[in-house]
Amino acid sequence: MPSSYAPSSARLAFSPYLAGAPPGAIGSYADPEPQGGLLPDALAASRAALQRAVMWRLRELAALSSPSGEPPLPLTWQPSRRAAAAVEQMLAAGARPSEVLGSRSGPGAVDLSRVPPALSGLCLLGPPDLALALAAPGGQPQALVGKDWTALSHSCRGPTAPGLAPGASSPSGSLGPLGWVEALPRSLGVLPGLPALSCLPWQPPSLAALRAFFRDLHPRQRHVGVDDAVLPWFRDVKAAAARAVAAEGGVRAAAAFAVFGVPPGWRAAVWETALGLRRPKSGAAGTAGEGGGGGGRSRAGDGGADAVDGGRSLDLEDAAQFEALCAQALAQPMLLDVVVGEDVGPGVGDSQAFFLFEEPVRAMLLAFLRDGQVAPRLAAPPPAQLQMGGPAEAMLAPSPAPQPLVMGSADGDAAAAGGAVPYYPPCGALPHKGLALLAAPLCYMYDKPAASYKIFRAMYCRYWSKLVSLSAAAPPRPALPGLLRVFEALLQELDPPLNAHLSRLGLLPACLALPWICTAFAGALPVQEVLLLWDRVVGLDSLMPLPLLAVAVMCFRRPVLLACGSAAEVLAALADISQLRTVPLMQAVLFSGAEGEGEGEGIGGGEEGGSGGG
Amino acid sequence: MVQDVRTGATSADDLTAQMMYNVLIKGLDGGPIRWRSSLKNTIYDVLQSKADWAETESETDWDFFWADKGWIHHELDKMHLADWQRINHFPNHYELTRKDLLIKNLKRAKKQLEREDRAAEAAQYNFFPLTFVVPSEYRMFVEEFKRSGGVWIMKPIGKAQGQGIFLFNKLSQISDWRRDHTWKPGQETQEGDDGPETYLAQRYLESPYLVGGKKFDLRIYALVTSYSPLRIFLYRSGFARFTNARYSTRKEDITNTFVHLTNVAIQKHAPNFDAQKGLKWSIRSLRTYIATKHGAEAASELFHAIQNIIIRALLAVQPAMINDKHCFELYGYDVMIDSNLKPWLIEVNASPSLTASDKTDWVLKTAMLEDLLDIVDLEGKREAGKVELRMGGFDLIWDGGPVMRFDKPTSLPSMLGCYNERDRNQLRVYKKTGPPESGKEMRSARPRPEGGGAGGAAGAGAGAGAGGKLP
Repeated sequence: MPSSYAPSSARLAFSPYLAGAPPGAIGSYADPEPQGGLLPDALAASRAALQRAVMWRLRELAALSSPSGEPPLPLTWQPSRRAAAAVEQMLAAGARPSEVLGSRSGPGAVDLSRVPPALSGLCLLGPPDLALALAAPGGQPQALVGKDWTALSHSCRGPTAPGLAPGASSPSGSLGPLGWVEALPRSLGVLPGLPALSCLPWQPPSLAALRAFFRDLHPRQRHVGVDDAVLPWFRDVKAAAARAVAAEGGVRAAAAFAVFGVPPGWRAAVWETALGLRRPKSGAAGTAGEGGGGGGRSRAGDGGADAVDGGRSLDLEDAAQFEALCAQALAQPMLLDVVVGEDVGPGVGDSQAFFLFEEPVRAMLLAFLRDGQVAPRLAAPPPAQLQMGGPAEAMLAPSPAPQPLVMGSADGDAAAAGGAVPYYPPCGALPHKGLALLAAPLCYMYDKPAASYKIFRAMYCRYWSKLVSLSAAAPPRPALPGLLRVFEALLQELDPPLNAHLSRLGLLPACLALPWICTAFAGALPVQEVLLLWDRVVGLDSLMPLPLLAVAVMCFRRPVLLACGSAAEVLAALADISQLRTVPLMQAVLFSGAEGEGEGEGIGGGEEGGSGGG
Repeated sequence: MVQDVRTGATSADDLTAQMMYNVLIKGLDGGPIRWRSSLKNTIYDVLQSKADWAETESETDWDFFWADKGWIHHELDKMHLADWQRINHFPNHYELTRKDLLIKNLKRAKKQLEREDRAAEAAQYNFFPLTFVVPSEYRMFVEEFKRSGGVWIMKPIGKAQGQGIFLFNKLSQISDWRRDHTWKPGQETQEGDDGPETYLAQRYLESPYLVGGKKFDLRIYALVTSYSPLRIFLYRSGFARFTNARYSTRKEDITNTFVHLTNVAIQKHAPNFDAQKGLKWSIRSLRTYIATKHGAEAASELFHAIQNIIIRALLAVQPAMINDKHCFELYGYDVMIDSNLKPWLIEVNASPSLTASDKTDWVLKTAMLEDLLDIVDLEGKREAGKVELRMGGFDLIWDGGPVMRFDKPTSLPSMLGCYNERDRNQLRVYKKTGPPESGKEMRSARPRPEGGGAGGAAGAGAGAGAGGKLP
């Protein structure tokens, strides 16, 4: 266990080996509240409303999940004897805890089978909730709490993996993953933007400022995701460079490299380096082991990669830690496991691209909930309600819980080291809709769930936790409100007619972009494009590429969207964006007007087939 | 596979109408193309959807016949085919598709190359696992087994869909089998039918490439329109069939077929099998996965190697094949990939299942069959003798010699698993017309059944006809 080198601050998130590296190698990504931590009133109200709603749902969930007549489920409980015996048997047969934990109908899930069918597809926190919370005009965020959350959750069920199962069985499939937007109050459409965003204490960056920020995306630079498709030599050069970057182990160099895209096969090494998860090259790192961390490159006969992989022991340690968390999940089910299960099932299990990874993803998320090392490192600090002894516990434990809660036990070292208050769940983050989709693409990079887990945890702490945080943070490190604000402003600057057209149809553009942004486009775009997008997130160390791409998609589909005569048509036109290509689109939207028309390839390569909209 | 068992459901009126129709069209010179199909699945859908093509029941008066293998064996040599008639099998396709003959042909081709001092090419024939035909090669097998040990797999040559297959790692584990198959070591079977059933004993690929911890094999489609010169088209799309259970080589799991066999017929009985979801992944997804994980070059290399396997297997049987200009054949190749990203040929099917198990499957198969009909070109749309490099989702990969494609600088060595716009186009067709109910009830001339809800569930069972066998 890493207690011996417990990092002193969140700055060194999961980078124990950076302790010896120059300070500031990884800059802070924590959420500094602007102006001394004062949150604008409207945003504070939104946040309060959202948190109230989530707490209320949690209690509902506890009540609904327990068999009728019995007291609501406690936060955690002991598995039934039968389930425990089944787990015991499988473990004795040599299965790893993560394998047992992952299976949908395995013994690990036995206790969750109590969930009534009415709750299938539930989510504690989904795009509709975020949209409503941000839309609630200053004084009255009550609307959200009053909403029947089950109905809301159902309305956003649909095929949750957008574009992957278009027109699938669900009746609401015609509108696709955006179906819930129709359920939003129509009055939203007449607003110029989400009300809670207008009071952010900073001006959204102009197009010129964004061009400066994204200067590395300029088409005059060669990019993986565009140029590698047509220039074989470029692929070779990039692969060689990636090898060097990973071998050298510099955080900054790796990030600077990732901005231009990482050649497939080298992504794991480069990202790990950029996120500070790797030991910088040293003499001691000579073990030629390949512990899954390298994505099995040696199997592909790509010699020379081995020298890069420093620590087999490190991998073993990670794996042990991961398995321990999985074992803990088996030993002590948690109410939130239900929520995770309902996210993984439809989001990953029913997705054509990801269904093979349902088991690892489930294990990863269940382990994640219990990982006490997450909370102190979250870029968006956990809400106070989740603290032990806080409102969540008070609300959820009206009847005395039969078992003592052993939150702190397995991660006591981390809690003690960070001096953090233990949370429920221990990770300090509530599972939101799409969490599973944030984990699934990483399974394309690693063989072992433990390795995927490590990078998922790092990325969640650094980036994804901001996707559901209602903080007022400003670019270049915005949280969700900031991302949506950037989106609104950029769309307005680039294409006012489109903005006006959508508003006329009763649609707020930010609501359309929200589900894409909340899952960082995972599930909406094909995996390789998602990873190319995340390359830029890692490279720029910012979530800003997300709103940029969202605007680019809107602009690219402009003719179709303008031809749409109803909200439903718009939703259908945006339901499937699985043919789009990330990098050319972002380049086109930023730079196509800037320096002549020399960059036609950017737009031309944007899409392979149009989508039927209206 | 759904055989054409025309149960007497046809009303007398329909029959008369059909007969009159036949009389009518026979009278017309250059009239509609008369087709016949023994199968009632996607090939039937596709043929029926062809405007101006007419179904016929006639044994002899057809232009296009999608026959089952039995018909080929019993009837084909009795018939004299006219120039324009086309049929979907070569008379002795079993040289390629019977497991033991395939191995024999591959071994022979390898020896022949060695004799010709083409050692480099001979060494390329290393894509099939070490195999012995038992009982005839039982002694050699035992010798090898004692020498190298390991896990082996026994497969009856005459059965499909994973029946009769078992794994073993001790000779004692096949003692039951030996008792059941009353033969004495060394006894050569003389009369095929009366002798003991022939099995293949094959070294098991113990470390297959896994995705999500699960094992899979690939189903790839290749079309041969001629053996002299050999002309092969490879279809870009295909699928990987996964096992339901996590792969393991633990001793206890050796007997667990759900872990080892990917046949749909086996897997559908596995606990937790979800017919709606299926266990298929498109080859394109697999190519994406491998490229993402190991790099584009590794993926390119792998799929090129698979393409070469397909070509070499056909080159190996070419001398044994009777070329017949009336024949074409669609083969379903079963290929496995090991953990070093080396592909292995498992077997070749001459009648790959054309039953659609779900929407994606229907889209894949109907699009492929339409493209196949375009290549066979009964209408004579193309210039005679002209062969195009790409026809729909099919790419020409061998035309009496390697097909060089330098049309684009970035041309990949194999287009297998690449983007196939046919998939997308056909999906539109599917959305527009809805899926035809699979096979059986389709009697009307223009089946346009309403929604597709039932198709998936009902079809999943029928999809078991995949007929693939796997070590």
